[in-house]
Amino acid sequence: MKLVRLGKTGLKVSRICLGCMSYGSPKHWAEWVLEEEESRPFIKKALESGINFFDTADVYSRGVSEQILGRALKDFGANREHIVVATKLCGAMGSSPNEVGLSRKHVMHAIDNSLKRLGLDYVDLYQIHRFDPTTPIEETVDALHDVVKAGKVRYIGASSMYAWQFSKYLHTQERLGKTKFVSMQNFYNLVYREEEREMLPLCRDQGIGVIPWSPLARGFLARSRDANTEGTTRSKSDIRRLTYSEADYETLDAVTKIARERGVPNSAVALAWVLAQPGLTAPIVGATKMSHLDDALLAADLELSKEEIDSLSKPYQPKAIVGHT
Amino acid sequence: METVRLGKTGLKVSRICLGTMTYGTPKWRDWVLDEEASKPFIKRALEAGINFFDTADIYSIGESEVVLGNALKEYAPKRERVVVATKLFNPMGSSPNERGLSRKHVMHAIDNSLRRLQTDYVDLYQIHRFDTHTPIEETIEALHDVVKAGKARYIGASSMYAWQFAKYLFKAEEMGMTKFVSMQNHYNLVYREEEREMLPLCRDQGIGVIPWSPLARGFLTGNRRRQDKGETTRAKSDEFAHAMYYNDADFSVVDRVTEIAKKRGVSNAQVALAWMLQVPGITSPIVGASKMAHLEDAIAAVALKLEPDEVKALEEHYTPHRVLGHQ
Repeated sequence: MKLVRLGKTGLKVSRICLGCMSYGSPKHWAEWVLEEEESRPFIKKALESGINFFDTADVYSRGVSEQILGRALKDFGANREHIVVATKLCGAMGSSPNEVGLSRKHVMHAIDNSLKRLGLDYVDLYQIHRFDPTTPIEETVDALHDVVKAGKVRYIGASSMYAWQFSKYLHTQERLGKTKFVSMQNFYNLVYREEEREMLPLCRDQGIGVIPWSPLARGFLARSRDANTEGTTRSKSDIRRLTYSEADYETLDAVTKIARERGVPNSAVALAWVLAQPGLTAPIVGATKMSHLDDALLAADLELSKEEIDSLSKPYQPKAIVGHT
Repeated sequence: METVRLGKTGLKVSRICLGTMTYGTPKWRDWVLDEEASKPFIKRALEAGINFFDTADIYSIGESEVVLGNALKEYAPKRERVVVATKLFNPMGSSPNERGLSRKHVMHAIDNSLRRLQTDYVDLYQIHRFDTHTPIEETIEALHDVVKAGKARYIGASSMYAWQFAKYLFKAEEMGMTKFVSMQNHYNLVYREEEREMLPLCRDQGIGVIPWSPLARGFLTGNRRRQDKGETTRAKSDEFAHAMYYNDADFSVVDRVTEIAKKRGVSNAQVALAWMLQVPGITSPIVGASKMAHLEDAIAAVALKLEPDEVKALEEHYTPHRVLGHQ
């Protein structure tokens, strides 16, 4: 698989990032999560297919996702220098107000705990999982810089927040001469394109790598119109239930039409559209069936024509913000 | 009329800003009033305690500034008491150097505006849009020099993306130069996209917010109906408004404005402006007036305090819109 630079950094990542939120412990977290033994084949297959980019977070199954990823990478003989391991902090890891957020205290604990669970000396990309309104951004900027200088992290990134907040972080980092964020992990897909207003242009302007989560809208774009009305385990139980408009179903129909013409699954078309957006580095793809991963691999080589991209983009209607508050 | 600080500056402005795009010459747009028809509005605004006047070089290609300058000279008590805002950016001639935010155009534009306004300085000099063909450092330095030359007291910006405005603010800070103090953006009950990024940014940075089109070109006054899409000259000829304010949810918002206005015994305009005035961080809406009733409504709106349940009712039907007002 083709590797590209993460934004303007020298780091090279595959155009598909394997998202590990669905690997962990269904007992301790969400019912659609796979146990370790069921999870490992996906990580193995990803490595074999040339995917070198893996994303997890401390909160996924309360640390179990990091453990599974760390063990699998070790057991399958991944070359540490080749692979890129990304994790995140900010979500609550305990009941104390000091076990959450982006304070200097929590940053220092969180990185050490993540490294321990992953069984690694360093993570490649350490991301803030959201904006923390209860910590001055200078404090977070300084703490993350120190984590990089301590050799525990190679690069730092951010996740869903407002573009003005991300701008402020980037500017503050520059003003203080501290390590700058190099990536943005945001919510973006064919039926949620609000990021095209502010965040994507900002990232292009600043050379920030964009690695969107939920590129298939939690499976909405992978299924046909009829299958969507049925619903899956996750879509029925999900805390963030999304509602879809007629325009979204028209988008889905356009995906299905191109998929049929091309003889590929829906998800390959929807991911290829994400991959075709200027400034896009790699969508984060989750996989609970091997076909999910195979479809993502197909997408990495699927080049859509301008007409196809236009027909996929056309039905979209503006939405309220989802994914951050 | 109550005056407030423009953002975190020391400048005090009335909570209504008189927008003078409708004053100039009908040769520019057919809904524009000529000088004689325009002057009574400026006179009345001054009498009512409005001290804040907004124009732009492009309005009637300079004629709006001329009309405002003449009227202020005739009616305004003292230069120190009024706050005059104008703008640059749009083409004032056919040369690529007669537009935009280059150092060359900034220097010409301010001198031309001062001459037309017959004043030594403007209080607030605003960039009318983002210029993708000039480095922001060049514009920041040119505007800073205009301020240091005594030709402008403060600088402001108008409709653009929040990330672009943030970049301007942070760059000016980095360079140690004059920072923008205000944002003149498109905002009203049927176009609230600015609540996503721009208004929170402005609150965070202490930027005064002075929205244009607070009545959505009259749409919120209820003078357009679902069936026939409007009766006024401007409504009929205004493609911009047709593109932006005519979905069903927008009409439902207007219905709420009308209900509350009826209940209160006031006009729709008063309710829509009173809503705007209670939004956190809003300094002054820019209100145009081509009939004296428009101005009287705006003056009355300042004293109208809405109840929380009224605010909720006004906001309830809003649905997201695509970005309108800048590109």
